[in-house]
Amino acid sequence: MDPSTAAPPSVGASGFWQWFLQRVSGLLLIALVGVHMWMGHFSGLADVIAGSQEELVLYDIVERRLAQGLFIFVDFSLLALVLYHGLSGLRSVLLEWGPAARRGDQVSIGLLLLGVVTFAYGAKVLLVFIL
Amino acid sequence: MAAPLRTFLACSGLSRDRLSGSRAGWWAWLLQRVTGLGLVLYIFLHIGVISTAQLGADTFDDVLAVLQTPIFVVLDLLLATAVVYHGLNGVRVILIDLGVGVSRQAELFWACLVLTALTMATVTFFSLPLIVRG
Amino acid sequence: MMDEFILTVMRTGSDDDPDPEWHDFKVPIISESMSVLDALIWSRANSDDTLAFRCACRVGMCGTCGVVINGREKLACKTLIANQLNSSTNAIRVEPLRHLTVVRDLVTDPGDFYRRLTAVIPNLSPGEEANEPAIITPDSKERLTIAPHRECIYCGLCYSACSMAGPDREFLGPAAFNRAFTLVEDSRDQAAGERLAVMDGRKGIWSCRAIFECTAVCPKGIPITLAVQRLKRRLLVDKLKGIFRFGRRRRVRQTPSK
Repeated sequence: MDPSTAAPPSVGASGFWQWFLQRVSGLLLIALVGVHMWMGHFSGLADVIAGSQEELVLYDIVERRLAQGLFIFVDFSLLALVLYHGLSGLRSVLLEWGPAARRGDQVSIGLLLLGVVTFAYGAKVLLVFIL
Repeated sequence: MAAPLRTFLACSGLSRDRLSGSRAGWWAWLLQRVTGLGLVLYIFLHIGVISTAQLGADTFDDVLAVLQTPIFVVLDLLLATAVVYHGLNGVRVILIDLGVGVSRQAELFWACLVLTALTMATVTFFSLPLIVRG
Repeated sequence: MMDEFILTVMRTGSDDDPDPEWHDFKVPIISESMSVLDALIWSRANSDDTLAFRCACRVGMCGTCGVVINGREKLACKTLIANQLNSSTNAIRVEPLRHLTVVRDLVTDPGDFYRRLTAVIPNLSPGEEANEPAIITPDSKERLTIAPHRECIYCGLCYSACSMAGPDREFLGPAAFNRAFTLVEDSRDQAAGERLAVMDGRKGIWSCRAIFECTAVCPKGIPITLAVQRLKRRLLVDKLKGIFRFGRRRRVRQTPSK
């Protein structure tokens, strides 16, 4: 196959930004996912084991957590970044596959829309706890 | 070391890099990809689960009670294993991309696996009461 | 020690049945130092003179006899039969290099491989105002950095082994990046900017996932992936500097990195 025939996806065509932002978002996610997993899965663990708290995750607990500005920031950032990192990674895997690479723009826009819609939906869910 | 000797070693095959032959990098990449794709699927699942909050606090609590039963705790631990490996290898990739530790890339991979195992062993230990009580 | 083994070669089919298929040759083990190339030559001379393969120097210098032996890229002349056989098998599988068009049997068309090399301007471009003679001492950092990467014999094993060259036939590939690195780091060269622009473009270095297969198979022990990562670092620094300069014109550094 002639290297020059297939049109490249126009978004992030040089590949540098995809490479760079994937790493930046990855590093940020290490911190954010760490905090999220701690808060969601471990901070109430002692209480649950002792029996003073029924379950690790309860509606009230989530609601209380999201009343604090810091965690609102953490959860929204996490949602945005994890969707970006995940879908960007999925995009680069898909674009290695010939049939997808030939429709590179469509794949990229499709994933972008998926990301935006999912973020909007996720934000709506978070607002249920906040409001 | 004398300059001529260093040059000779650099130019000949005698200072053959420890990299030769190792398939560690390939395994690291494969696992990164597999955990990555799995985690992308999980994100959507997770958002879906949390979205049950829209149906009211009681529904949410019921759903989450099921998801905190022992079988799901175990699944959660598997998820955490994927997250930990993906993150650690991600750091390894970033280091290598910056030209750091390239000649030790195989050792870095083993370190990722060992650290993942140690972390998950610790986490599993503390999570045992949750698995056992069910 | 066994006195014979099976050499299993992936051969192109005939005109009637063009699908490639495995073909077995029973080869006597003539000596302890018999190589896969020796076995191929013996098979051609004694079994089937239509067997097609490439070789030239037979001593690992020219890079002509690259093939895939037991699933791994190797030079046929440097691969000993004794090291490939073990107690559970007395067969050795040989296939043509990957990602290249097969001409016949083990002979591939290196055109795609050379086109990628050409794309990165693989020759030294000293520019009009070069100071003659350039003095680069053997123990200089520049020389020591470049030296291992100049051992390349263009055998194509790295390109065949590269996991990214497989699904993506446009990827420039390890040998091209390695060659470009030797010139980009060379203080005499003035075409670094153009080369880096080519590699910054689509299917350049950003698609390298540091899988290290190229480095693992290189018969000269060249740390190919290291060259790519250093190129990434250089481009990264240049781009970040460019961002911070805002309106001022961005220029890719012509001098080698410190």
